[in-house]
Amino acid sequence: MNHSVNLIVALKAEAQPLIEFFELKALPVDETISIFTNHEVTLALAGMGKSAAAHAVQCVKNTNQGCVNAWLNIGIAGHGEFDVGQGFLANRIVDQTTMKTWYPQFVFQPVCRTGTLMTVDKVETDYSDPVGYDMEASGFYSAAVNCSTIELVHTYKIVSDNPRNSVAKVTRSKIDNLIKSKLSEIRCTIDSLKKLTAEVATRSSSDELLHQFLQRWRFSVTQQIQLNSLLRKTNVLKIDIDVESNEYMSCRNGKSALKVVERTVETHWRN
Amino acid sequence: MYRNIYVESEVLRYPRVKEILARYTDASVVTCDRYTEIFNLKSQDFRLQKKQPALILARKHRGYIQQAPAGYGVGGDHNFYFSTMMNCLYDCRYCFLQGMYRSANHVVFVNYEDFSSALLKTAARFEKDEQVWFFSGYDCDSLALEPVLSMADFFIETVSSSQNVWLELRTKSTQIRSLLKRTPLPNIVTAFSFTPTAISEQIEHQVPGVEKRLAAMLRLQEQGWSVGLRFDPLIYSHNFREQYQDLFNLLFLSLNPNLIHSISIGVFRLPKHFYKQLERLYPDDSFIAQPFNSRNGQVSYPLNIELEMKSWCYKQIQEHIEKNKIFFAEISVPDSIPATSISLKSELDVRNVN
Repeated sequence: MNHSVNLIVALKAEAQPLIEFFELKALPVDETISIFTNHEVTLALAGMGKSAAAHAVQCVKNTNQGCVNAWLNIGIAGHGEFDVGQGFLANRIVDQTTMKTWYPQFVFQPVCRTGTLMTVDKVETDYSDPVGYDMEASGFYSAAVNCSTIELVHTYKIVSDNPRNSVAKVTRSKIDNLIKSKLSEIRCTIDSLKKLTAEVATRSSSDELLHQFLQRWRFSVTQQIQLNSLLRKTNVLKIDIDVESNEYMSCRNGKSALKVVERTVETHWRN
Repeated sequence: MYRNIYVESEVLRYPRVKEILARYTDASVVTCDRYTEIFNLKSQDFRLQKKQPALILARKHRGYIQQAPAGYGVGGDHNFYFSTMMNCLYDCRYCFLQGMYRSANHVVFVNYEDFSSALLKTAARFEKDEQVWFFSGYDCDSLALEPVLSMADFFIETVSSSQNVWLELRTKSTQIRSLLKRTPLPNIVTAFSFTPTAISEQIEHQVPGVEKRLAAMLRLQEQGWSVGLRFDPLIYSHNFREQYQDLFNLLFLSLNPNLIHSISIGVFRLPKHFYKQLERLYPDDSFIAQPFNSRNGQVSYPLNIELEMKSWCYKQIQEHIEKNKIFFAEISVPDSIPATSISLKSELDVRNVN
């Protein structure tokens, strides 16, 4: 099964350095957002806000059907404590409006600090708590965890403003520099997610043998599930199945072929 | 070893929590309202989380002591279990926890005192001449995290002055220091689970080796502690007789039989829906890929193999130890019993109630 790491980015200034670094090409899709891709990464330029981020997740999901997806929301954020230029992965995401909270799960070693990220509806200038402030994460996260297992969904932010550095001074070129300065951290995080998606993808890899069975006989949905499970067992237990053998050639329908596979597995195991 | 620790705000100021956190100064500590916000989420991947489980420190609010399932006992009059922890440090491919929980994170209920009060209150319901057993290690390993949690130490103290209250600490760990520093108590049984070395190395990931576990048992016995042996689950292989014979010889020729409290035997079995979950998580695993049979909602070996393993192991073990110390962890309930198996099954069931 294919797998992909999907980056959801709000601003063009945030996206451009990533598009250049990963050499992404625009995907000609009929979507309301721009999507860029290469063989390992897909980037969606979502626009600002929670709804836009959630919408972008849905669009990428639609273009990556049947694929194991990891999701990474990348962007700038304000912070009540961290210095400007500090990158961090969210270990808790709080939606300021609903106070709903999510806890991203780390099954890899983060290459940067971790911390709480508060998603706000308007730009935060008070920095009242020692947490990060952004405008997309809660929308992104709630949408992405509906498409993937939670270990594959993360949010990476780079601090652009804090109580000592006003958000008013954040310019397009400053954003560009901030993202470029953290490309190696972003690369490492993507690599960690890639490893995980590859692992999950191998669990559901389809099989040439299954294809042969499906071509030769008709199976009900339940029988297909049973067949898939049995053929997987033959693979793991290293049992050879030859659909050209007499035993299978004499099978008149899927049910009898299924019985032969079942018998083969049991006989092999007991001997 | 924990890089991520979640703490319920309610227990943040517990001295026990502060002690645990002090051991993990490099960990990222995140507060939450209830552990269920993290542990019970639907879209989690147990197998991925097992790579790096987080620690969740929480408070349990009710249901501290549970009635043990039927067939779960080693000769006591009343059997209960309790779990101050959910999930295990080890990664045994046959373990039912993989099918029971969505998350592989380790939840520790730090309000031991509430468990302790409930335990003593439960025991007080029975006569003084009745043995009331409390099993720890049903949803976790009782000793694997002892240096961090001091859980066994706390509950040994709880039952230390009650003669009819018995405590089983079930483990695959060698963390026995908290016992060794105490005077042995007759009502504490540290029960070690074993499979033969070759099987253990293949499917009991991160578990201390058979020899190391045996060494821990010998140290406990030398000091006067009772130990238990748990051959549950029995794992089938083509040469299971040779493998288990070697294991039994190693254990019974090394251990003092007078300080073996009990032995229990149970063949691998899982509720069907747990097994389905394991198939989804580990489709590439040769243990899970075996053609198990499904009977009455349980997945296990074909009945003839199950009965053969149980009866053979029982016969071997009784050559080393008195029959009244041997127990079966469950009763086989097949859909239909083949005529040739009836006499054997009856014999096994009789042992279960002895």
